[in-house]
Amino acid sequence: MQHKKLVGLSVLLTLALSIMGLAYAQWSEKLTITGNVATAELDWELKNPASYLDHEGTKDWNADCNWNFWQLDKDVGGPTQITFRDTDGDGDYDTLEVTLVNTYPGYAESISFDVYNNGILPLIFKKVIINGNEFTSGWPTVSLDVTGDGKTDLAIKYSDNLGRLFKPSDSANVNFKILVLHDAPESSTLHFTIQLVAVQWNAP
Amino acid sequence: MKSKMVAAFALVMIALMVAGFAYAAWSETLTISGTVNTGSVGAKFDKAKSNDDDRKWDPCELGTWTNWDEWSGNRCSYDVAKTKVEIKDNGKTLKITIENAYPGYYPGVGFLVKNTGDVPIKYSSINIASDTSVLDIKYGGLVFTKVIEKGETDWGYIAIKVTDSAAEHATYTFTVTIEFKLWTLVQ
Repeated sequence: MQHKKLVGLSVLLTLALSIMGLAYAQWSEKLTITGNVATAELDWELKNPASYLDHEGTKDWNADCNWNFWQLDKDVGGPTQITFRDTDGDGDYDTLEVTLVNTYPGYAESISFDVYNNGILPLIFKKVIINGNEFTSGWPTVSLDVTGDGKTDLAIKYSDNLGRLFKPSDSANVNFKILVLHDAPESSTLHFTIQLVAVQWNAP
Repeated sequence: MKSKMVAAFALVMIALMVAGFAYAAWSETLTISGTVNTGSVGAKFDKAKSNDDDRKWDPCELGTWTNWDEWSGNRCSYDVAKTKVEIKDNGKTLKITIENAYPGYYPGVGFLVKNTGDVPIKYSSINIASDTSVLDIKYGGLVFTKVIEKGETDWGYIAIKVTDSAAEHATYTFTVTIEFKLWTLVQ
């Protein structure tokens, strides 16, 4: 009997506290702020076409280490093959494939094309990376040992507009030159990669 | 003899009843009838303003808020992003929409809260739910100690910094819940 009374009292007490709690909870109000943040895209592209020296039927160009060019009286190398590619499928060209054909030491090529800010963010052409070598200013030249035999095979000179601000819809011409060096091996395929890196204008 | 006893008992009973009736007549009951009408706690967003409406250069720092519609701070030199604010659900919700955001973009929204209830209230708590690695949300203006009287207003702001972790072409959401309570319930 005593036990039943205690249980009953406990239930009543719990009920009373719940009611009190409910009453306190009602003396408040919540306001809500909802937010939706959609981010933009930094976008620039390579503009087709590119200009270059060694077209079909034209005589070869050679250069010295100071990048002085002259045209030969023979058509041995070339023609240079240029292909623009959209590798990420976003509708603009992000990769330029360059193939120099039947080259030899002294053979040189100069390739120019436009880059275009087709996004809505202003951007800065921050750096150029040539086979892993980073440059952020000037007209950098790099000699590359692409075969890994300890001797340099190719020299590449990059020029124009490094560090420049591109507002939306701005475009500018860039150029790079390639020289086949004397230690380049015969009957070989020499690969190189040049990356043009842009960052948003307010990046630290 | 027995019947006399019964009659006497009945007489005594009747006498007691009569006496009892007389006592009842010499009393009066007073009644208090009570009605308690309680007030209600109510608040709503009364006004709101973004510091990056269209055609303004983008804010790129927290800056300083001196009122719900007064912000000063540095703006970047371009107008890329936009922050829009709308009051919804009869003032219970503030909807913020940010377009074309990018790392370093730092918009803010000031708001005015009105006490629409019958009793004074105090700002009690704020809860922010978001991906903090991408959105760094700050708030200010509202203070715990201030009593907002019935019909009066107080102001606050939230600012949203997009961090370097934000991805391109992505959508992020956040929710900020601000609670107001009866002023006596907030220490």
